[in-house]
Amino acid sequence: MSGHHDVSYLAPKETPWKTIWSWVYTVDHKKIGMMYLVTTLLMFFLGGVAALAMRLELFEPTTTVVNQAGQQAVEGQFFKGWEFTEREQLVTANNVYNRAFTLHGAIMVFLFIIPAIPAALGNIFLPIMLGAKDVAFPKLNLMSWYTYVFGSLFALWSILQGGVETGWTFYTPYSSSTNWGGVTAMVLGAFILGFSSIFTGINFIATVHKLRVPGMGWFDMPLFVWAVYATAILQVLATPVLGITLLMLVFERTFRIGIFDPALGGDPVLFQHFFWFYSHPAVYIMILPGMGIISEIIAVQCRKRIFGYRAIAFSSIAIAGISFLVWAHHMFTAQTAASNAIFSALTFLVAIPTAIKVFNWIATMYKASIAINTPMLYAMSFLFNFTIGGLTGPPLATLATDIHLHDTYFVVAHFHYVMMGGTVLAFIGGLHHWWPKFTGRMYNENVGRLGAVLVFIGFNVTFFIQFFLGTQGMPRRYATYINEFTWMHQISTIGSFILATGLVIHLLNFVQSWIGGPAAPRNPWGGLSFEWETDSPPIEHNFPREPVITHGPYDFDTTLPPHCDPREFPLPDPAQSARYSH
Amino acid sequence: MTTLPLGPAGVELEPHERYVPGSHWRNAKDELEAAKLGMWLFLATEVLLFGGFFCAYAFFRYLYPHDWHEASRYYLSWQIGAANTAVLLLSSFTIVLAIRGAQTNRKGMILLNLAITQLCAAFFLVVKIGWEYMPKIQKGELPGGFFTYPHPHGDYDHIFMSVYWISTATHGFHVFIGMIVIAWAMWKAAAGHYGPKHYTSLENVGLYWHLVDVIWIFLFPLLYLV
Amino acid sequence: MASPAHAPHHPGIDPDETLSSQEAHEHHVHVTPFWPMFWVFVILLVLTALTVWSSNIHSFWIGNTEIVVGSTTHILMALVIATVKAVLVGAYFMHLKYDSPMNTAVVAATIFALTLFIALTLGDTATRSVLDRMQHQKIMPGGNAHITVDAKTGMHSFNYGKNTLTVARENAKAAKTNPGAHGEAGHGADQGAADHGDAGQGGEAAKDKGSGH
Repeated sequence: MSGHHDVSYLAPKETPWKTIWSWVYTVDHKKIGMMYLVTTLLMFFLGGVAALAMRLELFEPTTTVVNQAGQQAVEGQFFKGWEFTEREQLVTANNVYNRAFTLHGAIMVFLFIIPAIPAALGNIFLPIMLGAKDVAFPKLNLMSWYTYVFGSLFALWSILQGGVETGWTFYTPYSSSTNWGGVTAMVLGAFILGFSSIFTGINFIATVHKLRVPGMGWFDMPLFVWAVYATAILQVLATPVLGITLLMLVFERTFRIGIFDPALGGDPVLFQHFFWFYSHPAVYIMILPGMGIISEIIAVQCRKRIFGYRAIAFSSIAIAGISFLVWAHHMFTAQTAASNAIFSALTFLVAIPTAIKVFNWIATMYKASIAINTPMLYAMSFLFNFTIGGLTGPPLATLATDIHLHDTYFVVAHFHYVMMGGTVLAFIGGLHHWWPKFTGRMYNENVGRLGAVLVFIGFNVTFFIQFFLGTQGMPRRYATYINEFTWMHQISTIGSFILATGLVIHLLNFVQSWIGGPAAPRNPWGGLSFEWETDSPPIEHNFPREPVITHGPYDFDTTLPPHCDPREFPLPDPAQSARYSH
Repeated sequence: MTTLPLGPAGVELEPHERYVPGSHWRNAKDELEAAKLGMWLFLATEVLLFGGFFCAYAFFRYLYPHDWHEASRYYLSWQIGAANTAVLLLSSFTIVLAIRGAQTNRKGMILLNLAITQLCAAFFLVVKIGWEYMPKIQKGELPGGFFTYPHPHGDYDHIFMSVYWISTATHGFHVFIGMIVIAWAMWKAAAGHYGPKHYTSLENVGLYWHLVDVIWIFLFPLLYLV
Repeated sequence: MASPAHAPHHPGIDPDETLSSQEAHEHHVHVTPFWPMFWVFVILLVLTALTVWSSNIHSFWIGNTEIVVGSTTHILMALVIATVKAVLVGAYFMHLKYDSPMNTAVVAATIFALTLFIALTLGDTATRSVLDRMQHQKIMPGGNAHITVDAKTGMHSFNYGKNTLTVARENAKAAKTNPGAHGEAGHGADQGAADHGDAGQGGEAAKDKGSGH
């Protein structure tokens, strides 16, 4: 009975039709994770194209080619025969830029970054790290993916409905009052995507509680599991509020309920409270799994016990809890001074667990045997970039400075540093770290390093200068600007193309590896958590028989890693490493 | 599986007696507890969803307290609301009895109680749509921008109507979904899927239904009584 | 990873594959008792009646003093009773009392998040009147952004039913036809303010404006 389960989950079936069907109707968490991976990466590149279009537009202070091309598209062939209302005929080139940044934001937030790490890497590795055969509710997992696809298509359909210009934050009354355009489609798409997120969260919480291998306590789990668990709590508790917000926005548009519309007695600030109550925990949904990946990469690539395991584990939960207390720091210019004071003070709290993590990672690297490969390069990039992003948070949390910085490029730079310099870099690092495991092939290390360097340089050239744009007063979401800002924008645009080049190099590296890369060993990095005990790629039920836990995931000082040559990964000499075990 | 396993007396086993947990579970108890935990997590999301409506209610009530109070008495009938509340409470009780029927292996008890629950739900929806919604639509007491009732009591009646309509309509939608889910549970019960060793999905249906009841427990006094 | 030869054969579970599948039959079923649940149901009905009854009490006498029950008290009472009912349904009907504490923890976390949300949002709303004179000013359909500042006292006042653009136009027209007078502009524009039937209020506001209110 166990014989036919000893094949890799990627192995094709007897006929092509059976292979396709085995993916379409799979309940295997690894296949679902792969499908999520492919679709989220596709969305990432779509959102990236929108970003490049924006940066091209911003190369010149006035309206340029991109907007004019868009203008012609609106007036010309593609929309010929459609009837425009008077309002639509007033569409100027600037509106095309508005649609670009809305699309970029909505795709990147809802279609890429929120699902990417939990649903792709989390789905593949959470059960394996716990020694389980699958997640708690495999069919719900598949439904989560189909919901994601359906929601994404719905959201992208808004492009054909005339686009959305409100920004990904959908502030009322602009989003509730225009009776044309794709707002309803995009909002409903995001609503459906919220359910996908919720199902994933429910699955992961139940899995961590109920499917751990006997003998694995809470403090024997890898830190990636802790991170994904905290993320799942946020997904379950915060996403429904987004759901109700978007639902009420749709009601506002279709039934004119007037809750957010001042013309009918409602209040737009209420919308902002509703929206940010989800969207702030959402940014922690984005970063927490990334931090989990960094814990794994640093521990394994530095082959050292992670410093302060419990501190990092508890700080994940603390970040999840505190994230519910700070949402109105996105609304400092919209609410009362009393509320401002409360939220400003609470916002400073969230820096504490975050800093604990950063210090612990650096302490882990101290006197460790660091392998400078692509995952580790990304981990180090993460430490640098995320710290910058984190340190630029307090100026925004401070009320006096926020008045000047609100809605400027400073905010844009800040969140790109934490979201892209943080989560996306962690994601790419994790992809490289686990690529040999879930594909069974090695990627080309030199090309990977080249890509990592290009991404690091490109990212910083693009976004560092935006801090200065912001402090000088350049507002966000503007297609045109004064001449004095030109040189800074031009540097930023050049940086964005370097960044794009680095990302494309990684994509090509992965494609080449998938097609014809060398077979990967079971444990190329010498890791100790359960995924390094499985085959590369794992068999369908992950383990031939239930694994027995004999060591912790970070016991590098006492345990030789499985399936590894001891000469390549010897035990460290205790005499040589100061304060090795903690 | 083409041949069904026979029990000790040579009698064909009911589906609930030969239930096997999913292959990734170590035992049936883990699967049951995980299913309940998963259901509770889903209920948590539903609570937060409706929480948005309560927040909007609180917000507008704070801004326009007098108008709100007057509108509640002017437009809504507490008798209908109270009747609906009692009926929902009864339906909660009967669904508990249905679960007891599964635990004591009495299929008839499961089916009877689920049927009563279903009738209570239908009563709720009929009263709501027939006695509350239809007259309101005819008189023009509609949400927000569509409010055309010619004799409004205060200036913010249309906002009150908005909150009333979206809260109760979403709740009614959940009652409707509940009816579908209870019908599915009745089908499964009739096919012999529920018994002392396995009644997980019946329990989860019950949890969902109780949540629908709890939400109404809060909606009723806030909308109808105060 | 012993594979006990005497383990019962379950279609779908391979005894070789799982370590701990042997003990699955210790499934002690807690049978829901009838009468306690019935009494919970009765208490719920009683509490419902109590809510209805208490919401109709607007004042009561203790000795010689009349105690008025305001609407805030009504809301609080209703919420307290509703919470008691919800706790009863949750603990007994939904079995929380007999279940794993994790389920109760999920409920607690949810209530915590919801309370935070409503409390802090209301906190923002409640502190508006501290700095913002616009609280309790009605928001009329069509907008009410016309603000006039009294020259003597510096008080802001709001005129309903006309928006800034309309008033600006009227003022411009009045300034052109009658450079001296300031207050009559409101009267002239009354005929123009046909929307929302607010002509009466517009006239009143204009009178107020003219009287230096």
